[in-house]
Amino acid sequence: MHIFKVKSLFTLTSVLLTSLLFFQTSLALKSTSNFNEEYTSKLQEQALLDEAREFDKKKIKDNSIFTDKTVNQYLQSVMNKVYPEFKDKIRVRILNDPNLNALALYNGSIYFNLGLLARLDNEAQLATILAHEGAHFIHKHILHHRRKLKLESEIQVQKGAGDRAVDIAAKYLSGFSRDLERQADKYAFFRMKKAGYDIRQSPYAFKKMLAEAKANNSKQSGSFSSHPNLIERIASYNALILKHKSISGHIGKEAYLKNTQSMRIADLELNLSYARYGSLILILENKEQFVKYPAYAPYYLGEAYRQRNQQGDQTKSYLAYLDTINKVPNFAPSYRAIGIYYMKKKRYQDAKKSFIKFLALAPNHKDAAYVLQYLANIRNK
Amino acid sequence: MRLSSSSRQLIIISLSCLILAACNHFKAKDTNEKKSQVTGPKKKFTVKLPTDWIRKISDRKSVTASKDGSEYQLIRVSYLSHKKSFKTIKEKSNADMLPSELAELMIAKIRKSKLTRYARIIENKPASIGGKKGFRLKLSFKSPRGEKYLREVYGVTAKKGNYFIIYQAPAKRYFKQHKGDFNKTLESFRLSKKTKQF
Repeated sequence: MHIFKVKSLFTLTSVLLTSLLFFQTSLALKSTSNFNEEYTSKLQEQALLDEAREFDKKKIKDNSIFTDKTVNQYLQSVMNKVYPEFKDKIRVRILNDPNLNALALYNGSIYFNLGLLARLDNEAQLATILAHEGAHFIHKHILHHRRKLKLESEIQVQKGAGDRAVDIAAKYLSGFSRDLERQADKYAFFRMKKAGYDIRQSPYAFKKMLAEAKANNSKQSGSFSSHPNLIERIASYNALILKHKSISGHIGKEAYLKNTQSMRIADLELNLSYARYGSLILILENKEQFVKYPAYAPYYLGEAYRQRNQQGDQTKSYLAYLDTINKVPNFAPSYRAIGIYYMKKKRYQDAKKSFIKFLALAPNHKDAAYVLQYLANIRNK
Repeated sequence: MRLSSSSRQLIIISLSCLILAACNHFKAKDTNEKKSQVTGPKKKFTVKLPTDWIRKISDRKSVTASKDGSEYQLIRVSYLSHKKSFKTIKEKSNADMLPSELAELMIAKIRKSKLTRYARIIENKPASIGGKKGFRLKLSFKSPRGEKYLREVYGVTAKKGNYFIIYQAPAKRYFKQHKGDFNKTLESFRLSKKTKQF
């Protein structure tokens, strides 16, 4: 009996000890796993920060930043107004890029394309985009997005679907998922309202982008400028507006036009140099947009028609040049342009007069050497 | 399955030959002055390349030469049809284009390339190429490593296509060093067929 008791006690102690050991081991394993996850997460975050810093460095070096002080300070001030607790920590920069897009990096750098900036009408629309991009940064959407893609990619590799894994890897560079975009919309909307902006302006920024995307047949996946993304953004903001009673607020049209004046012509020139004639025609043929530009803007419309060179475009370009000459008689580039038109139509005397007028107005213009060559060509005609 | 030592040797030699052949993109250096003259694809042009440079008559479009590798200095002479010249920007050139108009298209093409998207156009002027009126562009851009490069692009239009001559090198040291060689190449450029001038 005594022996039996000792044996039972021994068995019980052994069971207890084994359970304790098992419990402790599982605890240790769990904590190791947590540590690993935390460590991996920190590594991922560090990698994203490094990537963002590299991107910043590259952009500053490669001449891609639009450096006008007034415009840059204005954009930063709007960002600070929307996210006052992150004052100057969410850093806005303008890219010399005519495509309608904006992007947020993991370190709080926001890149706003010149093309997009030129299409907006007022500060409230600008605040919509800035608030949206700021929300991506604050909610660490890049990290969530990358993790999801990594997981999907790993699953596909395990399944043996190599090509699919490559496709997913390519998506690393693309936009966020629908859920993350909706979250950014919601948060941006809340921030705009808090900053006192008229929230009814929010879908307009995306509507403009959609019109342009259609005009250029844009198929940039993942970016702002892809059709499905834009249609969803518009629907998402409209739904948010419907839910709120107090929707009026600050629009800031005058401040926007005044502070962004210098970049508007820069954007037209950029569109020409990228052969984006359709975009330029879309902007300047729109009477509402046209008033935002200086009186010599028809010259750029003429240039877009001349370079696009579709049926009837040459006449349209001629009329646009004439319009510019009537409005701003001392704007030299119109004379060069109309001179080329006359030369091609074999109206050599008119061409000569126009070229001479151009050289008189702008003898050191970058195109003066070409004009001298053309004058020499038609000298005896 | 065990291979005999002679078979193994044969396989190793064959593989080495294959690797060497694959690496040999460029033709061997030649110092013969006569051989420095190259006829372009489809006999569209002739050009004298620097004698001690390694050259490559690649595809049906261009002739390329470099002394130390394309990262250090590169000369490319090419002929492209009007249809293909500006395919990347979905534009077509034509024989009636003025040099300044051809240069506009070239700038748009430069902007389309990821490498030269933000290039700074330093100069855009008329130039004589093979005795014909064309354009000369000078631009600077940064490589993905952040090194500043300079590029000169010369272009001239003809009846069925365009001729382009490009010289590119890192701005520091190399560009200046080989500019003389390039100028000689440019001067030697001749169109084989008559071109239509506006």
